[in-house]
Amino acid sequence: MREITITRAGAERADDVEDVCRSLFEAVADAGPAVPGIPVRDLDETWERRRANYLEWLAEPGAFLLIAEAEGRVVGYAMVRTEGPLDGWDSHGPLAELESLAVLPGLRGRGIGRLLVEAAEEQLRAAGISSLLIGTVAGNRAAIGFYQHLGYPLWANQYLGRIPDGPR
Amino acid sequence: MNGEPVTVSYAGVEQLADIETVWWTLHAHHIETDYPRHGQLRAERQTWESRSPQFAELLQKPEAFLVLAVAEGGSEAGTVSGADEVVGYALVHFQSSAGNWRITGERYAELESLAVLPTYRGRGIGERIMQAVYARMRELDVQELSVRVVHANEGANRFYQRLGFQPWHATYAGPIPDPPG
Repeated sequence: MREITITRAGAERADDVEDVCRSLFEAVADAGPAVPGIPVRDLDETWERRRANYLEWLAEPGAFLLIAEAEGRVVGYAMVRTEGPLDGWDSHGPLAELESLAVLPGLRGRGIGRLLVEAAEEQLRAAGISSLLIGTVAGNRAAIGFYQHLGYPLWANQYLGRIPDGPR
Repeated sequence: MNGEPVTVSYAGVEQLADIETVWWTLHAHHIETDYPRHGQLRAERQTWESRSPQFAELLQKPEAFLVLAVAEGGSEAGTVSGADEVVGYALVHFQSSAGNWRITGERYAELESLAVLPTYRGRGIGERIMQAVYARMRELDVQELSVRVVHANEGANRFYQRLGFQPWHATYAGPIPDPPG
């Protein structure tokens, strides 16, 4: 396998992850709506919103991007935020959230995602952070096994409901 | 027995104090259930004094509301007026946008917290509270409602699935492991 380098970066490199981000949301769109009747936004709009989120988050203290590159090409990335404690939940120490983790489709299954998570853990340990939350789209079966294996079991489910038809 | 008639009504932040007793039973359940496999991440032992300001802040958002289920002539704590007793509640606020998903309108409802006193469960009070939530959402022309439930809380997961809620996002969590030896 070509050598993979992982670099920590900030907002100045947010635009470098566009292709990988789009590939992630292409896969999400191909999988169909997680909730019937709630379509995924189109890719341009998704990237525009994601980019705005990343720039906002990367202005927060402690937030960072990890960029995986092979031969000068971006092949994967992780977006990590450090946050205050969750309302009502005690993590017994500072908490971080892995907001995005993506690897180019042709390069999946080669351990790049795992390298990114391990690099994030290293950065977070150094920052004194003790717990990690990872958000995914529901029904991503590959994610369940991947994160469970890395020591992060499923913790919470977010549901979406629609009001039943007609007044009662 | 708890056979008293139960009425469901709307309220705002001024009646937040009335849900304290029911909130405690929900919180006690979170603590008791505990989630040992999540290591350090577990329900915090909170107090009403620490939680209620968070609820108050949400209830001050535009159009946020409480639904109260009140039993007439209740005899336990949580008294509203005379012998009436709050036996269940829901707290709902509104969020704009929905990440990558195109929701029907400009915003969706977030069910922050819903609970029914254990002694009043099995009487359909939770469903009646949800009907009241839906009715207010219709008035406000909001179609979608989101709720987050701890995976290990089987009863809560079943309740929302039975109401037709669909899995939307999943959150994984755990302690960051020690560096590989």
